[in-house]
Amino acid sequence: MTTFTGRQGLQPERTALAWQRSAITATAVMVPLIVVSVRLGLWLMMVLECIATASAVVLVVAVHRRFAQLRDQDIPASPFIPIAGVAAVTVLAAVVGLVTALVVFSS
Amino acid sequence: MSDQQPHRHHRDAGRRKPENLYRHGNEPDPRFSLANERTALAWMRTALALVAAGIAITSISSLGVVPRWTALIGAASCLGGALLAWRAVAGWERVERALRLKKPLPSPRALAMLAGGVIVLAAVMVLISLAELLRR
Repeated sequence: MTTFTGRQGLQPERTALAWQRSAITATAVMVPLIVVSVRLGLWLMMVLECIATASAVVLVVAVHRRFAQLRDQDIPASPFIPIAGVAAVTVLAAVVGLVTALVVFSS
Repeated sequence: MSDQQPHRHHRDAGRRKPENLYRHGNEPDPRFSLANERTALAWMRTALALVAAGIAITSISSLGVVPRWTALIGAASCLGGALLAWRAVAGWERVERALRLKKPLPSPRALAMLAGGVIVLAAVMVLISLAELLRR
């Protein structure tokens, strides 16, 4: 991203809010996943879910850093690493959900 | 474009990731870059919604109130979520590259795939609901 003046259309704020929504959604998705794993006694899955939840919480905090980057009009910054972080959390949750679903099907 | 911009472009290319993206082309209008970033995040939230739906279906299936094979629908939904998350990152990079090289934006092919997947998922859920109603 390059720098720009005037903050047209409150672009940094809108983008920062999109980040907040994404990070909070990533955290919220983990809650039912943990509940299902506890009910089924899938402890390994639960450990993985806890890792994913911790990563999602880190993302919520890291979003503030991205917001600071967006507000600073002198430092261009790329969103690639935080986007890849959200993708990693999503994929981890999906893999755990997939394994849990297969366990439920085969039980 | 100001005189200082090429200098900034080369200085920043090394610390912005992925480097192979920022090495090429010119800086686009930042509003477009930010819009691209928000679009990628919207895709990511859609992927998370698919994962959440898959977990919800699996959860209901584990209660034993619906046939066990419905867990496979949950598995498919989770798989779709994982693929969509990967697609969101790849799509962001493709659009950013097109913006920097001033090329036409790539078409959102994932949108058609997502719509098809959701229609299939909804049709299967309706069939399950009807089967449950007829069984009672």
